Amino acid sequence: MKQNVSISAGLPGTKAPRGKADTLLRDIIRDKWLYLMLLPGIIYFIIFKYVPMYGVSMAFMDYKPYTGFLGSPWVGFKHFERFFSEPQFGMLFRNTVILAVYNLVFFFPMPIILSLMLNEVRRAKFKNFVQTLIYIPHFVSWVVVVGIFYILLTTENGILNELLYQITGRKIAFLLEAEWFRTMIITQSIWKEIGWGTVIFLAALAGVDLQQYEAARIDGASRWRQLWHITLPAIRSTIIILFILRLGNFLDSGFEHIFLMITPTNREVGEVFDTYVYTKGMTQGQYSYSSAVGLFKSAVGLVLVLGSNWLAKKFGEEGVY
Amino acid sequence: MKMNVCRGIGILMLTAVLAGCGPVDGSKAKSSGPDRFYLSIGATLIGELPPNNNAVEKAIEAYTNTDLQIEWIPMSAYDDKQRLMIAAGELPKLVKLAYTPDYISTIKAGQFWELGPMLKDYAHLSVLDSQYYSNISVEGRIYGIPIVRDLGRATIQYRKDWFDRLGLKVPVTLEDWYTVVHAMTLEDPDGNGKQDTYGMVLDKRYNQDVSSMLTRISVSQGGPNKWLVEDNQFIPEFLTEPFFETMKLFRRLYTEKLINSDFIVVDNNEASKIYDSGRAGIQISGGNAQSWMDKLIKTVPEAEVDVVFLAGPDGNRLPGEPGNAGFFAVPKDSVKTLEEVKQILEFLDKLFDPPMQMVITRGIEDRHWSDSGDYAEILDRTLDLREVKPYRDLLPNLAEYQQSIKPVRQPELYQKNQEIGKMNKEYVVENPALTLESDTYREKGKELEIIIQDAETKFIMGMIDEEGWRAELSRWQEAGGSQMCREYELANRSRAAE
Repeated sequence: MKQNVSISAGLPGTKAPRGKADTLLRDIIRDKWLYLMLLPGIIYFIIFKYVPMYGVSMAFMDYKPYTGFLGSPWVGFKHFERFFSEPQFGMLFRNTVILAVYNLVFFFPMPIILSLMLNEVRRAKFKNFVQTLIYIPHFVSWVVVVGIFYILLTTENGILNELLYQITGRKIAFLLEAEWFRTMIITQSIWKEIGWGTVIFLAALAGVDLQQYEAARIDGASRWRQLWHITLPAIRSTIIILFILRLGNFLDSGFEHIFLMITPTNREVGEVFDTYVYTKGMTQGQYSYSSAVGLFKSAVGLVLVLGSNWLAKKFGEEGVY
Repeated sequence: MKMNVCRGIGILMLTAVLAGCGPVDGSKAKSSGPDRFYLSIGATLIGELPPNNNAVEKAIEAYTNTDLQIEWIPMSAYDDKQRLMIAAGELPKLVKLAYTPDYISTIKAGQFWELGPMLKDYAHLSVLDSQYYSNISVEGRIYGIPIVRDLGRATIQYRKDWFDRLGLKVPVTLEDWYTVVHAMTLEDPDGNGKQDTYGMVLDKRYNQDVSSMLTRISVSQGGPNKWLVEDNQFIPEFLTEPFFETMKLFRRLYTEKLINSDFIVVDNNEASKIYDSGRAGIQISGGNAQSWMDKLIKTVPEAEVDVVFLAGPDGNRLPGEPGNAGFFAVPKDSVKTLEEVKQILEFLDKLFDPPMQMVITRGIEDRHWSDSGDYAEILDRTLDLREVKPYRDLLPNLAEYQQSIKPVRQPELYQKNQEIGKMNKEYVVENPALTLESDTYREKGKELEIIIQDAETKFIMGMIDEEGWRAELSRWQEAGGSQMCREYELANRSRAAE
């Protein structure tokens, strides 16, 4: 495996160093139909992913809409310097990272746990029913989710708060108090996305060889033992791949969601890079500056993906590529 | 043969991709004659989308000899979308802008045509009150045609039946405001035996922009409109006594649970609903009290609403507003020649002709309204909302001021509110910084506003005390507030020198 990687640095599978282009051309001619089928995908990526990337250069210019890309002056790292020396930087960084860590620790394992639980359900009809039901919140937009939570939790006749008042005699301003902010965000994310997150894990679970369970049962393994020794190892690589991909979006806090939940009283824990980019770029028209902030976020994501992938390979896992 | 099929598929795919990239053309089945002037407009939409090719649009097209392509964008998404279109340089020929720092800076960057010198050639545009123009001028130059509105709109609107039942008087001093709100919250003004009413309800935008509740009450108590100028020193409103007293009033109302406890998460619509369903008694509003009344009587048939001037111990006083709902500007990206600019101005000028004003404000005769002697009678309110209101909201309208247009027969309350709106002009307190230039405001204005607005909210909610408030003030000053004051002073001095 290791040797393989070091030899074929360029194209995996093509060995002869001489006439590489020749072989490639021959390959293409031989498998032309396959390549043709690949074409729409390649075109899609070029047009919608690679071509727009020239816009990143905006982060190194003083972009003015009227003068455009050609007329705007290059300013190097000016916007990055400004960003790192901004008094708000510390707060933004802290909020974003804390939220991201909470997401990894509390949100990421949830779909795994849920799919393991679903996997243990015996009645197929009930399982399908539950699966369908838990997908639904994924299709509900954030505006509606936040609206539902507002109706449940507001201190003015919110259902849960009224209940709380009946029991304990006091109300909690879940939506206003800063210490509740992160709990609310994570809870809402889990409510909305937990079902959708199970899709891939359930697919992976469906691929586990049933004979292994049978053999384990004959050997007297309990359900817990089966889970620990068969099911989890079987989906381990899926978990790791999804974890690495998740790290690529480490600093994405979900703009829409956060933006809807921010209030004057929880702003000091709620303001994150995404909302900052919006305030700067969209409401104040500082396109270059907010591109720089966005680029910084992506750079962090890239470093995390490369790092974790490298680490995964170190430990003998497959990694993303 | 095989190759041909191959190539065929390739070409097919390429065309599909290219087609996907091309500009999406709103295919219009409109018979636009070649002589008609094609004009695309970026427009805000409040409420429902008007039907395609409706009678009002057709009438405007016919009168002005244009082929209109109006891009309706919902109000809430308009600014974001507009900024993106500006950034991408893809604008319609006529766009509605607001007088805000980011638009001003694109105007300064030269993205729009200067219209000022050309105005004299147009009969209606040239006679518009100069106040309307100066409120949208950038560095003393005019780049737009204002969508004219009243200069002072704030009025006190209250439940007269509740006031009568509890023996209350319209509030004048801050103490009066407290008494009134206190009574209407705790003394069961609707007489249903339950404590389910509020004197006043706030929403999350309660301290923002021109309609800020804090500014409105503070001005009525003798405070400044956003900025106080003393010996050419610019002092923000929140450093003045009346404003601080107003904040203390709300702090008191909040701690005594006399206003809604969740106001910072309440949407403007939600707050209105509380008023409309007869659960709150007094508000300061820029709208017409009649629309409150109309909605209210559906749930509370015996309800009675009255409207009065916003007044304090020194008589009528209210914050002046810019007198426009934005302005129309002509982008250089989409309009290349001066000839075309003149055609667009001609279109706008024609909109002020009485027949056009009639169409914009009332719609088409015998479809939307009919002539009944002294008055125009609206035939169908729903049709009016669907087909006429979007244009009434979007286009400049001066119908209430033009004698030649027959007034709609409106209820007494509506007319009273309208009358107050006109007379308000005499009592407005101007915002002295409205058209002054400040780089800090342009770059950080929003952040600075947020610092103060958050601090106001925290103070009212009792999360910070006076000391904490002063700490926030110095944070504001250090973050650029002091710099902004100085820039306004400089700008003001150089303007005075001109």
